[in-house]
Order: sequence, then structure tokens, then C-alpha cells
Amino acid sequence: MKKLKLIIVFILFPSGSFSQEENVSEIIASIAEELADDETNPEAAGIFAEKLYDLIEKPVRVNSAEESELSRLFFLTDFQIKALADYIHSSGRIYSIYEVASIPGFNTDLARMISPFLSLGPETGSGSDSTPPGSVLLSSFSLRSPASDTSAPGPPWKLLTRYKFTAGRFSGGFTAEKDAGELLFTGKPPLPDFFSASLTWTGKGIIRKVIAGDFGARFGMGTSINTGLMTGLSLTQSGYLSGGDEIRSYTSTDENIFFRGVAIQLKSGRSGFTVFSSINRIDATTDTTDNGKEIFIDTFQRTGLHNTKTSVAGKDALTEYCYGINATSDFKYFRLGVLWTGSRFSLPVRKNDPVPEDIYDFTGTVNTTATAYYKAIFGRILFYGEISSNPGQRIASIQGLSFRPSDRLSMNVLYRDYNPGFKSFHGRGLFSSSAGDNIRGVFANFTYEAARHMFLSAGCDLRINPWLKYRCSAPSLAVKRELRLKYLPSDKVTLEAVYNSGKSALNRQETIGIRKQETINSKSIKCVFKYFPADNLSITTRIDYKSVQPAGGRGMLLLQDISYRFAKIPVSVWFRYSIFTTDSWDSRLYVYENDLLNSFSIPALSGEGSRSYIMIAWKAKKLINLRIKYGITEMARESESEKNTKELKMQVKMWF
Amino acid sequence: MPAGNAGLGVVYSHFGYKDLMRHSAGLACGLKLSEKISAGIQTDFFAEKTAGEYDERRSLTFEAGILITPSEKINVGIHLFNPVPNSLRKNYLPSSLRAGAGIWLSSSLFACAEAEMSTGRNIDLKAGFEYEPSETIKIRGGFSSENTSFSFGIGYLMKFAQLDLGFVTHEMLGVTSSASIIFRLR
Repeated sequence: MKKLKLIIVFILFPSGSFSQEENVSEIIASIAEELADDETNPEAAGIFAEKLYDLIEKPVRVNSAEESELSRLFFLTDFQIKALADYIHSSGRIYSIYEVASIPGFNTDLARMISPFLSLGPETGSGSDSTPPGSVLLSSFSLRSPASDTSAPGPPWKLLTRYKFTAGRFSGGFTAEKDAGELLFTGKPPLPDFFSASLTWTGKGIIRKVIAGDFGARFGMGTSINTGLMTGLSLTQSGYLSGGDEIRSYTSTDENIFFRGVAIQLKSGRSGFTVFSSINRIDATTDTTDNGKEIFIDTFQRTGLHNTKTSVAGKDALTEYCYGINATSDFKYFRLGVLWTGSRFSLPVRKNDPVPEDIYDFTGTVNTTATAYYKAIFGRILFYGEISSNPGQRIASIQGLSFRPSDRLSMNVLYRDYNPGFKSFHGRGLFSSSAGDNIRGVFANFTYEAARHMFLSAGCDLRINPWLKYRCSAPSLAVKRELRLKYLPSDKVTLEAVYNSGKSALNRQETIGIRKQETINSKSIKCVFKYFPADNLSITTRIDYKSVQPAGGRGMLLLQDISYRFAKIPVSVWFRYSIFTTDSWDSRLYVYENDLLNSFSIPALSGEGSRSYIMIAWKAKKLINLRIKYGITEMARESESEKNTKELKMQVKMWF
Repeated sequence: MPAGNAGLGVVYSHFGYKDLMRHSAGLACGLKLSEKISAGIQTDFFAEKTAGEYDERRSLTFEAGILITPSEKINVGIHLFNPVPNSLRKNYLPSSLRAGAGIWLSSSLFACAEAEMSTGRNIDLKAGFEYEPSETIKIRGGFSSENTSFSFGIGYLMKFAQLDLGFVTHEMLGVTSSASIIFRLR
């Protein structure tokens, strides 16, 4: 009986770390929204969230002052990492988060934001040996009604399961996913539609890491290899992630960008060396030549969805052989890196009837890329750059500069030129286009602490598309600007206003003759008020206004969030109610939603209606975490009732 | 009506005549949740009757609000009307959301701002002030983004009553004026 009582107490009552973790979702949402402001792809925010949750699971041991450990805080700039390390070297151990706020390059807002990801305990050396054995299982189920495609071969729900284990120097796990409309098991032997697994060994000697199975990688600025989040998304981000070479086990659900094989990372003194090899089957649409004798690849399928006849036929249609060799060397003030990587396909890539837009598209079976990159810090100036080339063909180049004239002011300037025809199948470079090529531009921004607790930042990006692109049948020019003002009068109140404006060219709607272009102007204002009346209660009010000319009209939204954590039981509740009205799809509004762990929801709201959700989380110590979310989008007009949707999501996370 | 820590309220309204009649009734409960936070909820019943072939429309819903007083000089309020999905009822009923804050800038000057939005309508941003040049006189002014409307008012406080006069501009309708007397019974 006594044992039973203990178990009940253990399950029903919150642990000491509960309140901190409850706030983490809010912080993640805030960071993700800031970084991914331009990104409407939920997968990108999901990757970002996953990296942050990894940090929560294994916080950064700040007081170790090792660059490799501190750089796990991937959202910090090189300046901030260096300032943090210098501070610990000169002043000794950091004892409180308020101390972090006083370090040059940091402020109260940033310190508060990163606090869940830091461990301020004494230095204990490398953690790989001391990591206790443990496993984490996360399983999510989601169902949307009505289903987007009723003719799909599989059931309309989505299922995702992730398992990770750690045992000393070894770690590993698997990811299994079935999207809505896909069959649960396919192929021989029957496996979930997407299944990924890996085993990692981490060492401290010359061999630092060995991964067998599925893995992701990132080298330099990512023009050649970057299977993770594309950085440089927000115009007013205070710095850009200019380094961070890594290989890591693959746990995301992008089904076509990762590597499947072996990767080895070596390090000796100031030099690093990484080599990898991969054979992976990816999705593609095949076609045949006019005489029917040759099969070739017409387009690559990137969505990972296999819920239509065409997409099922294209699943794993192509085998990609990949390899890469990367070497880096650190000198006193700079780092130099070179990378050679290649891809070979089992079928040639070409188009039967290319249109002018396709002239620079990749053709053939082999693509190799040579890359060189550097990073140099001189006092308060950071230079970084990268050049990649498909040998004898087109190049992609980046040259950036970060400058901190004072602790309250930081500035960034970046030039990039991704030639039309430059191709990298696993690259996501800084400020590249979604296709990775056909863009040339200059970007600049600054962040200034204008007064105590008041931050002003602004950014501008000018981009030129020297060749045709999707929905624009002529070379074009685009401009984006952002102005952001953030004021934190106290720990409990945050006020933020963001103004965006942009200009781009798109084809007019004429259906005959040569397509002409028109300039689309868009402007938006977002005002956010966050208030924490009590430790367990937070309230957020947000107003959005958007205007798109000439045809798009206006969009408006008023949103109210309330989140509450019960004091006596380990249960938290998130509630949102928002009302929106937009004149057209062009003036649609994107609003990030708190969602299940390791994921995000970013619904596109258009028309006239309301969007609301309630989410309940229950956590019993570090044993089990349950989340349930129910969301409704309801249109005000009966003529738009086909847009009405309901979603149910459930998740369980277990530690054992 | 006081009921322990809570306060209860009843509201009934009637409008119209035999051929077009609207009734609304509500039962409300307010509660002080903590020193700084109060909340209230009200169940609402609406009935609308139109002569002829039109159906009688009846709707049941609720509304809720929360009032926070971070300090003696600041109030923050949120009000949500009809969060119930329309798919659960036969007749469509719009929803609305209001969020606002007020601050005493000095002992005689109060300023406030509010954002309101209803389904199918544009957002309405409002701001206003009330100034007390003396203990018996109040001067009020305001702006609403809907119809670009400005308002002005004056109040006079007597021992047994309060007299108010108001004027509101409208893009199409011009100026609308109003007057009211509130009697105090003690």
C-alpha cells in the first residue's frame, strides 16, 4: 500500500524542473518564429525545434568553455561563442543566468531565452563517457478532418515514432513515419513508408565520431552540403551561423535529403577530417525517350508524400551514390576548410520538352562539387566566405562580414551569387533560393540596444534572379525589408512590433502571348504583447495586418493565447483563439502554433474565419509526457465551408 | 449578487415588436482568482423571431473574460464571445475577441487602448482617454479605426446622478450625439 501511495505521488505531482520545461515551448516558439520568419515550410521549423529539444535533453556545459561544446548553441553567433569562452577563461565559472546577461554580446532577453539550454554546473570534462544509459521513445499521431485527398491509398492519419538510446560512447535510434494517406507498411519486407536508423560511436582521440546508417551533415556555409536547417532566414537575426561543421545521426523526416552509409570524423590537433559515403534511394518521376528505349528522370520528388498514384510510382525510383571528403585547419585567427563531394545517379536526369525556365537545370548522371571556405576573426570583425563550383561549370559564392563596433550594436553584410546552373543536391546555402541556384544579392542588417531593455533591429535584402524562375518568365528583382522593435520593461512583459515590406515580380495572368510581369508589393505589421501575470500563467495578444498590391488586398488577424500550468498537478494547458479576415489567398497570414514536442504547426489563414486550439500536456517526472491537441479552423461564410478543418494530435514521450 | 468569493449576475434584453423580435438572456458568474486576476463567464441565449416564412433562430453559447491588474494604475482585459464552433449549432453566430489595456497616466488622466475583431469583420483598433479637470467634470475623447470614427464626451457628476453627453463621428453618417443620466440610489 505504501509503495502504491509513493507511485501515485510520483505520477501526480510535478518535479522541480517542471516549470522550466513548461516555459520551453514558449521560448522555442519565439526563437523559431524569429529565425524562420520567412520560412513557410513546417519541416524547417520542425528541424529547428528538434535541435532545441536535443539541447534541453543534454544542456550545454557552459563552464567547460570548450568551443566545440559552446558551439552546440547553434543559434548564437561566432562573436557570442567567443565572448562566452573568453569570459569564462578570464572570470572563472558562471553561476547564474544574470551573469550571462552581463557578457558583451548578450542581454537580458537573450540570456532568458537560452537559459533552458545551459547547464551552469562545474566543469566535468567531456560528457560522452559519463552519459548514463537511457532511452527515449516518442510517438505522435495526428488526424485531420476532412482528409485532403479521399482517394489516397492509405488511412488519413499520420504516425511518427522516434526511438533514441545512449549507452556510454554509443548512441543510436530509429525514426519511422507514415504521412496522411500513405499505407502504413509498404515494400518487402514490409516497413513503414519512411524508416531511418543509425548507430553512432563518439570518441575523444583522433577518431571523434563514426556513424553507420542514416546521417546528416553540414560543412562550411552549406552551399555544397547542409542537410539541416537553412540558416539566415530572418532579416533581423543578429548574426549568421558561419561555421559549425558536423555530421550527426539523422532523425528528421525529410525523406530525400539525408545520406545512408558511413561517416567518419577525425581530429588531430588543429586539423579536422571528415569522410563519408552513401547509397540511398530517393523519389523521382521517370519518363522515357520518344522511341521508348531509355528511361530517365524527369523531376525529383521532394515532398516525401506517397499518397497518390504518381507519387507512389516515384517512391525510391532513383539510387543516388554520394561521397564527400572534408578537411579543416584552425589557425590563430582563422579557420580554413575544403570539401569535395559528388553524386551519381542510377538513371540520367533530363527533360523531354524543356521550356526556357529549365535551360540551366541539371542533366546527366554525375554531379561533383568542390568547395573552399574560411572564417577569420580580427578583433570585433568577423569575415567569412565560401566558394563552391561544379568543376568547369557554374559557381556559388558567399562573402560575409559581421561587425560589432560596440557591445550594443552589431552589423552584418553578406553578398552571395548562386549562378544559374550551379547544382548541389544536398546543399542549403545562406540566403539561397529554394532551388539553390539562380540568385544574386546583397543583404545587410543591424541590431542596436537603443535603450535599457529596448532593442531595435532592421534588415534589407536585395536579390536579383538573373534567369527565369517559377511564376516569373523574365529576369527579375526582389527586395525585402524588416524593422523590429522589442521592449522588455520587466521580466514579465514583452512588447514587440515588426514591420515588413517587400517587392517582387510575378507573371501577369494573361493566357496568350508573351507573359509580362507585374510588381507585387506587400507590407505587413505585427504587434505582440506578452505578459506573465504569475509564474504559471502567460498571456499573449497579437495583431497582424498585411497588405498585398495590386491584386491581393488586405489581411488582418487578432490572436489571443493563454497558457496555464496547474500548481498541484503536472498538467499544463495552452489555449488559442484567433479571428482573421483576408481578401485573397495572396494576403494570407501565417501564424506559428505551439504544437506537439519536436514539431510545429504553421497554418496559412485565408478567407474570413477563426482558428482556435487547445492543448493539454501531462508529465510525470522524467518518465512520461503526454500531449493532446485539438484545433479547429472555421470559416464565417458558408461558401467557404470547404476550408473548415479539425485536427486531433496525440503524443507520448517516454524515458526509460 | 454576492455568492461567497464569486459574484452572480443575470441579464435579459428584449428588442423589437411582433414581426421582428429579439430576446437575449444570460447568467453570469465572476470570480477573483488571485490578488491581481479576476475572471468571469456568462452563458448566453439568443432568440430571434421574424414574421412570415422565416424560421425562429435560437442560439446558446457563452462568453468569458479575464481582468488583470498588474499594478494599481494598470488594467489589462481580454474578452472572448462565442468560442463555440458553429458546426455544433444550427444557426451561424459570429464570434468576437477583444483585448485591451488602460493606464492612469496621472491622478486625473486615464488612457486606454483596445483591439477588437469579429468573424467576418475587419479589426477595430480603439484608443481613448478620460481627463478630470475637477472632481465633478470629466472630459473624454476617443478614436476607432472602424469607419475612422472620432468621439468626444463630457460628464458632470452630481450628488445623486451623473450626466453624460457624447458625440461620435462616422464616415458616412456624420455626427451622432447622445445623452444619458445615471441616478444613484443609496
